[in-house]
Amino acid sequence: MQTPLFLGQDNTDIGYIINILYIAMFLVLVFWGEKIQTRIRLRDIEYALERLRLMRDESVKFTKEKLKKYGREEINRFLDNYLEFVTIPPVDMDPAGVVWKLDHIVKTAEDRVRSEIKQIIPDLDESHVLNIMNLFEASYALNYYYKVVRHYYILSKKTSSYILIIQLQAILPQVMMEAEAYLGALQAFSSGQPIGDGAGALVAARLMRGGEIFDIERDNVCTVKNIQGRRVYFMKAKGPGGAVGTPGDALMKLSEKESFKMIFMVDAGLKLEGEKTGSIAEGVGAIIGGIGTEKYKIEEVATKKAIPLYGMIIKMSLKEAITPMTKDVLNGVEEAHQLLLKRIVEKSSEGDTVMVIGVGNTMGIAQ
Amino acid sequence: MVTRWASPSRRVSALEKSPVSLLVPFYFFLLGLLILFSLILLVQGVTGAGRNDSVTNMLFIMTGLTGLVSTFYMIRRYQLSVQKTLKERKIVVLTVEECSKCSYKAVRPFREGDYVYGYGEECPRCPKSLGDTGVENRMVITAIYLEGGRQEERY
Ligand SMILES: [Zn+2]
Repeated sequence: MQTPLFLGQDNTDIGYIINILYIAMFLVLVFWGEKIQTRIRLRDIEYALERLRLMRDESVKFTKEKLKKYGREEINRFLDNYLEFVTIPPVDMDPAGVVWKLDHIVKTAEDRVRSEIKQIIPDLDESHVLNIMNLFEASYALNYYYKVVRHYYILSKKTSSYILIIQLQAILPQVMMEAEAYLGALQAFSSGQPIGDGAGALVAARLMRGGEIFDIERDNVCTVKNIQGRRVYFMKAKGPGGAVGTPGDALMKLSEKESFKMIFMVDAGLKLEGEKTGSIAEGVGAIIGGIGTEKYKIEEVATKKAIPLYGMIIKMSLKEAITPMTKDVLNGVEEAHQLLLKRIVEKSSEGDTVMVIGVGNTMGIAQ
Repeated sequence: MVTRWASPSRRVSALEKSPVSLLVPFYFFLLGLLILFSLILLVQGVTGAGRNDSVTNMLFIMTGLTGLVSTFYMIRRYQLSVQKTLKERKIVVLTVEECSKCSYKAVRPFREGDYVYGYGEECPRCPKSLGDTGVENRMVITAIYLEGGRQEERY
């Protein structure tokens, strides 16, 4: 009778082959196991990197194609230069006053790009210049993602550092998601479609309808309306170009001559995974994104004059924020609009002056 | 996995496909070989192929089954990815126009130059008065949004 045998312990040909294979595999895995894993991971990263490069090239190509109708060759060269454009943040060892320096630097950078585009294509109206800048920024972001991932890829290859490779591979899915969002944004940016980030601006635009509109500071529009006995200022970035405006500057200027009882802010906000797009979260504080300079100014005004800051966030993912506004976001806008009107009446009393700021990129949304 | 509703990404997908178009038949060729190999192993295991060694037969059967299951899993995954690509392509941006006089509402595909609270087309219901400058009879665009606006899978 045959006793049960382990694999390959019988004396058949197949048994020998399996035996040898097992020993070989064992040795290979012991000596080169980590190397093989590294190689596999690196190939994954390589694939992602290649996709990032394709996306970057596609974005640049798309932008150049879109700019062809203006018939200026220089704009292509400017775009190539712009991809390597650097904005150096101010030194923050002594943080006092650093916000104003940053504000100055950012505005200078924006002015430079804006004036250069205008110089190349002189008969372009303001909203198109802004849309082109947004397009440029998408290419810039994609190029940046590509360059950073490439940097770490090459570095981890050179040092063959397992930890570095694992870290890079761990963040890659998120990087790819964001890069794809930017790629998806191109279509909206090039044809001036409202994007999800414009939700706050759209709420303000809806409330501004019918009022007399005036420009204030850089890229902002403002109007005053009477809502059940309250003097309500509505403000947003000036559309339909892709501007975000400078609500901080505008608020500082307005609060010189007006004493606001409260400030309401509406903005698009990033949702956490699992939250519903277009749902509204109410809260307190200066609800505005970006590098923080406008937020600082608004907080300064509010704190100095003890004005309560109320806010509303319309939630969406990054992708929904920079691609054409979805129906869910639009429903959120409708809801925020109604809720805001209700809150203005609830929180203030007759005769008060109230400020409402619709924050966000106002591309494709006039007033 | 690139979203396919925007034309630039559509072109990226075309770029991605050029090497893929060669790879796909090769992939299926490999899968076919795998199925064949698994089946042979399975048949050998079941019939015993002249050996009365139950461990080897068992091993053959297990390997064959694993091969078959994993092949069908791979084919299914490929099908799903193709379906997803096709589904994502059908998304369109729409413009909603409203007449301020008769509140007639129309939805049409987005055209370049449209923006919210800009002027849209002429209202088909309101009669065009003579000496009209052109703007008075036109509808106002009240919304622009992405049709079928769910871009993400629901969990
Ligand atoms: Zn009408």
